[in-house]
Amino acid sequence: MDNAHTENRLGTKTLLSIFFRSFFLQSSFSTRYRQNVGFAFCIEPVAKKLWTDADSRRKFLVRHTDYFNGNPFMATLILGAVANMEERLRYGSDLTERDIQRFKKMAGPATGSVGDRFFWSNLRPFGLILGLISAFFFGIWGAAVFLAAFNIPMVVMKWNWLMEGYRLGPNVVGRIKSPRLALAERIMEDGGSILIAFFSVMVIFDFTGADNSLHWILAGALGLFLFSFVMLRKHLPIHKLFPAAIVISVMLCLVMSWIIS
Amino acid sequence: MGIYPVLILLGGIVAADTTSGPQILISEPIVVCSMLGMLFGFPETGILIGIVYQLLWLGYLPLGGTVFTDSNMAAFVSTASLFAASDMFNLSGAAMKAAFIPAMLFSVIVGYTGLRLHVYEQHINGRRNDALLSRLESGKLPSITRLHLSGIVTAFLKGAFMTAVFIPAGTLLCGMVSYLPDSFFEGMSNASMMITGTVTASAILFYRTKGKNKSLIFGAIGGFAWIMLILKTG
Repeated sequence: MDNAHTENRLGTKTLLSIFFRSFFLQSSFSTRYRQNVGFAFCIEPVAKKLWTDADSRRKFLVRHTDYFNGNPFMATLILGAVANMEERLRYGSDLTERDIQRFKKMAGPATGSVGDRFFWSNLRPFGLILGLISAFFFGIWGAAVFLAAFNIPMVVMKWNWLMEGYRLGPNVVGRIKSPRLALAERIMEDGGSILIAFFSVMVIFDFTGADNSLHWILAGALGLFLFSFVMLRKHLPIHKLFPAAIVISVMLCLVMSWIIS
Repeated sequence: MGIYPVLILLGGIVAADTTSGPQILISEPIVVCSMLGMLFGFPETGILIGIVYQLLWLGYLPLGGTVFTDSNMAAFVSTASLFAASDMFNLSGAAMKAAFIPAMLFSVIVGYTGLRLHVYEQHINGRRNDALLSRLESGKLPSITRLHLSGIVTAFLKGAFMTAVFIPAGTLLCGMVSYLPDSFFEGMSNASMMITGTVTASAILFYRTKGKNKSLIFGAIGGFAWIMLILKTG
């Protein structure tokens, strides 16, 4: 089970169907089974292509409705590999149903860890920062910049992973931890932290009207920044800190307004 | 309130996109607040509110298994409530800025309710999964597509329900600002600007926990230099 296969018996239509369905991998997410039904939903076109009788399709669904947990974007890598393995199982190879299930159990959490770090912890915040800066300077285009910055790489990577998974089968596990992904993460972390600090300074000064005479609002915002920073570091949740900060700022501003008037 | 059905539809889409699918992140505050701004005729304000909410929840990771404050629905409902109140109660200028305070407080309630509903939604999905597995075990071949799509419908209905219930309540809450004495307006509108301190702290801390201190300092120095340049050139 280690040769990359070159035949495409499933056809592009089936692979495209898996690809589009993969955008809805999490729709039936449950705490107990995670994305089990989602996975079965995404891989279902393979069953329709390979099996014609109801019992074989039912067995197919049974082996793909057990626990599965992976990153929703990187899961196409597993979906492609499982499509490859199912095809080989159908057309007689040394693969067994247990091999497929074992592969899913092993590779799913690996994509969860690597994919979550790449997409949720790096690409999303980095894209958001680009969008926020663009929104600050160019208005509504900021939202478009963010959507493009996140979705273009996401869609391209999803498709490439699906094709790579289908080509390499179970050997694709070696591609989960890619040095290129690690490099991209490092660039986005460094770039993101520089840009967010730059943008935060701009936002505080611009929103509090540093160019007019109300310097006490700027001082209040900086004080609130320090207070919030310390509180968040002490693990005070945002849903408690935020209302507290609002109440403090309102009281401060009302007192200052009365003093000034 | 002719716009109300559009808001309910949008609310459903925001809730579905957050965790259910297609997760192309059209549900993020910067996108939905800008969209609402255009819808209500306040494009600039929509973007500014989007910036505030996005900075606040920059580090929130919408992972499937995580129980988290529903930041996207919170931003959507509170912004829509603010704009609807501005239409209904003729809020403008300082009054609208002041109404952002109750809108922000309301967003916390909406976010927490979203969290509870998200847990319930996962519970419903779990029960549906149990039913599917027992049918498969008993030798039947159920439609996995129908079952799975009902998960998306559940997420959509959750968002639509939250929109239908919370936007009228939020609109009234924001509109109550119009009954406050004028002397409150300036203080409250200044407070809505001062809150940028808290939202930027939340965004900065996200990168601080990644150990990117040097980059943060470098970026902050760049920001100060930029501000100095702007102030000097007027």
